[in-house]
Amino acid sequence: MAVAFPISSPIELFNPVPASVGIDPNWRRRPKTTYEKPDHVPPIPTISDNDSEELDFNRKERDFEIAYHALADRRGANATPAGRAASRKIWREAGTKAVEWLIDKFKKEQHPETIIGIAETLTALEDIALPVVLTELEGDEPKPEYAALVESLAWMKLPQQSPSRLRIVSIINRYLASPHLDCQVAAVQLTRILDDDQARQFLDRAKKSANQRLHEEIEDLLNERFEE
Amino acid sequence: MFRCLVKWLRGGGFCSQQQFYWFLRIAKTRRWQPDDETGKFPTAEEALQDLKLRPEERGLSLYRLHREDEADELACIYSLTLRDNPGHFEYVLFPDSVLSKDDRIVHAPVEEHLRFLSERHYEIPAPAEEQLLRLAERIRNSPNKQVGRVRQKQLVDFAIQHGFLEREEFHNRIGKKWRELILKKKKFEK
Repeated sequence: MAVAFPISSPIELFNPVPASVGIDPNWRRRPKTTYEKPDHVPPIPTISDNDSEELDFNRKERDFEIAYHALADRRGANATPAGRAASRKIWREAGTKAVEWLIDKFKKEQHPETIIGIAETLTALEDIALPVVLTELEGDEPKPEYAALVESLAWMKLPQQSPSRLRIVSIINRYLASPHLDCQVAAVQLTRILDDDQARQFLDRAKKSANQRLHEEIEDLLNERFEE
Repeated sequence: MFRCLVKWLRGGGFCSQQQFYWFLRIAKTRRWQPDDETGKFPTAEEALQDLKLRPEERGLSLYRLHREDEADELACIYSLTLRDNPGHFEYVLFPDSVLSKDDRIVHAPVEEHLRFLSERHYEIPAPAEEQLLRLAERIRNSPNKQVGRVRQKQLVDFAIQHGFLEREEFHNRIGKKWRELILKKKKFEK
């Protein structure tokens, strides 16, 4: 049986448009445009120190925002401790400003993993973050929302004769006296930064009036530190 | 009778029982259970805070578990490898029946994570806030949900028990502070 194939349309040949089409043949002969000098030339604006500071601040703010989103992202380079340490470089380089910025964000943050990310970053910034965090905690009533901030101090390494030691003791006292359990737990955790004798005093004192959850925390700490 | 038996066997026999899963979401326990001091139960809006996506996230991150007791292992591996400061691991666990048809869930392995975590990582892609609020409500009202807190001490004990420091896959993944805690505890135990 014969099969009818559709007849294809003839192939269109490649027919490019010549380069000269559409171009004015006298284009070389046209008179050149002249510009008259205006009477008044406005001065070129100079960048003052204030403007440059503002630009610098905006750039930093943008960099902080980018780095902030990576704080809780545990993927890519941030999947290992070394990678996370490297990605904290930006905060370390920005110094106190970065710590203040992070604390401001911390106050509004609700995401549990981001809160942990901020606390870890503050711990890693140690000597840069310590005075700023202490001032922040001293300037406000003990709040359960600040528990992660208090605990970020707990993992810092404090020199034996550090002048901050007294301030930390005062914060522990205030947070232990708070009616909120989260504050008390944070205070108990903060005793990690103290030497053995001082920490034991606090823990023994807190144990007397502790409820079940706090008691458990204290027992765990005593067990970890003194194997009791 | 025989026909029924054949039909049952063709259907998979005992294996035909539908496998169900648990989903774990890293959360704050106080947003899912009554307050210790006041006894007040958190609202769905409060619970929603734990389900909201961070700006760079594209889906709601969940871990799918075969058994409830996998939660401890997950807590331990997650904390030791992905968190630098030792601390408790808090989560909310719910059965898959809590998810609705709208909550399309997809496997989202994270190559850089340990296999245990990567294999269990799932996501609900681009959920709307309204959808998350409904999910928070359903989890909150589910009688089978479990709100858990694995204490830091338990995490260290688990790591020692399972020899995490000696296992190659944990090499360079366990943070310095965790490592110190584990070594200290092991020293005490000797």
